[in-house]
Amino acid sequence: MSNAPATTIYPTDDGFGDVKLRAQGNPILRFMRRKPLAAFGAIVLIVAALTALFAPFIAPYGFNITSLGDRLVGPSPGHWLGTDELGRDLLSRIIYGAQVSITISLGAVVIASVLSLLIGGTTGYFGGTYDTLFQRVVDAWLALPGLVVAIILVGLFSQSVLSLLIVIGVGGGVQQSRVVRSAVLDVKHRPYVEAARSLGATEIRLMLRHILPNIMPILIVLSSTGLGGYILAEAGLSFLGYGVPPPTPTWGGMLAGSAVQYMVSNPSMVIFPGLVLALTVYSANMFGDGLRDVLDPRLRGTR
Amino acid sequence: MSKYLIQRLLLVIPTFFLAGSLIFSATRFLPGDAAALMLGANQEPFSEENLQKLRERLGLADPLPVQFVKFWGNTVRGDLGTSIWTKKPVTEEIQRRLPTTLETLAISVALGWAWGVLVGVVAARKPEGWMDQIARSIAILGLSLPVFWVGMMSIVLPAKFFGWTPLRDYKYIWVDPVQNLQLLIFPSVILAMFLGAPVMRLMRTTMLEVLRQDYIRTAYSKGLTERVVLWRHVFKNALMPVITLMGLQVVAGIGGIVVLETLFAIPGMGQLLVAQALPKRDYPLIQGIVLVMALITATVNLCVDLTYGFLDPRVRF
Repeated sequence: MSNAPATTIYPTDDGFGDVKLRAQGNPILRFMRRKPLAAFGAIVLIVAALTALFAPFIAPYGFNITSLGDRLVGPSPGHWLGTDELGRDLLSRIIYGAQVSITISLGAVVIASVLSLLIGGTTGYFGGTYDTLFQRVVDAWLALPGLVVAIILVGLFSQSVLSLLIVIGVGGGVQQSRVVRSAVLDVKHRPYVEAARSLGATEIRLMLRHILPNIMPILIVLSSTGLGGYILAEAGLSFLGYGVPPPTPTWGGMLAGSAVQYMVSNPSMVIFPGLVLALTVYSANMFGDGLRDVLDPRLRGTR
Repeated sequence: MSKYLIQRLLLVIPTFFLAGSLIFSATRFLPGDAAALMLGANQEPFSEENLQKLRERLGLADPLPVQFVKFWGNTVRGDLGTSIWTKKPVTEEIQRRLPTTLETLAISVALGWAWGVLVGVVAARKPEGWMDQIARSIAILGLSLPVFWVGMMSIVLPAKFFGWTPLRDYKYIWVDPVQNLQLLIFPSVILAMFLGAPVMRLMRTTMLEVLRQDYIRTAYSKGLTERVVLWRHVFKNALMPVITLMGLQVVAGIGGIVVLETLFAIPGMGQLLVAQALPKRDYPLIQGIVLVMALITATVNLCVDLTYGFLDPRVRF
């Protein structure tokens, strides 16, 4: 059936019965066929997550095992990607570095989703003075570059995985809340919400049962496109020295500090972590793009 | 016009006030302060009494509401306080750094807007054509590559292949324009690539959307040439949403500059913040830098809003 036109990509569009109109086959396979790059992105992300999970079993060396005899060697049979100035194996550090990147970006996605729902959802739903006030605060927040706010908060607070995850997540949440708010504004005047209201549904029920499910696709898309941004944000903070402190390996941290000093004499120290970082972020972006086209065509080209 | 302008200007005030207050609270409510750091640095005996004395001298012992009112009172009068560590007025510290940062920002934003808008228009002319494919690939790279890594590669690769390393000796543009530009052009061009990428994507999308409109078909059927239709009818209408994004890209540009100044050792405001103000918890300096950044953003957003009036005759001030 490969030449059959895929009539619809919306699972919810099938509701009214015409079975022949329903898209054929396994939804995951269909996604992979229609959006090969997005599927590639998803696979890379899954591999990165598995790498993070099983890092101790995959990595040839420990992340902090120094071997002073093998300092600053290039790619070689003993060290596939070479070593850094302390003789630590770069491949192992990149593998362990996935842990921090994945933890922080996933944590930030959760925080950003919850926060954007709280801010964007309630301001959009209730409106009025409450909305105006909150939007001014959001304006003020967005008037400052996200990275600057993040380094200030992390620099003054503490440099741990948890605080990075919170700072990055809150920044992302404030930014997302705008989109969530406009989505809520759009949904709340739809006839089915009015109908539910006229049947006597409470505010809470309206929000949770009628509005929330309808803005979920937008939230999923925002989260998947946000993922890449959060990985980059963590790397940027680490690069400036405001990331998770050494010796914990992070992709951004591997590019910071002494790496800048040695990057010309031993380029593999900066090339490989950067490539892995770029590939992961690229994958997240591609996956997010594909997901957006499938779930919410209205958002096409917004980023 | 003037009524709208006044209203719009008044709207800047609450945003500016809130942004400043956010930073004030961030510096005050988070743990640790400059007094404790100073005591450690001076190797004086660390006692509660000394700490308290130092805090009083630095104005950190006042109750927070008092500090808050003092901070805004001085700021409104144009006094951003004195740096806790260098004892120089914050305005003086920033004045020395601001021209460099503004110059980098101006070059990179101008280049970024230019390539984003132009390539976006060209790409939309033949969607899925080779120009479109290349432009979109570059845009995706712009969204995926870490800006500081590209900066590092721009130092590593020329050094590896040509034995050429960038200069490290910074000169102001009014002292030595050639050397100044030689230094700033690398970070500016790199940043421009990143700033232009989302602009290009949005420009392309909105162009394609406008191209589908009925009035474009009308314009073509009137016998207008493609060039006139594309630039006078499509481009002008497609530019509106892009302008908003262009304003946002200036804010993003400040973030990028903070990173690139650190990498290229350019003595601008970003470097001041990362290397000096933050590690030493120099509150007045942090606040000053952030307020100046907020001021730049507010000015840009104001200009963006005013631009609407020129582009869209329906917007009346």
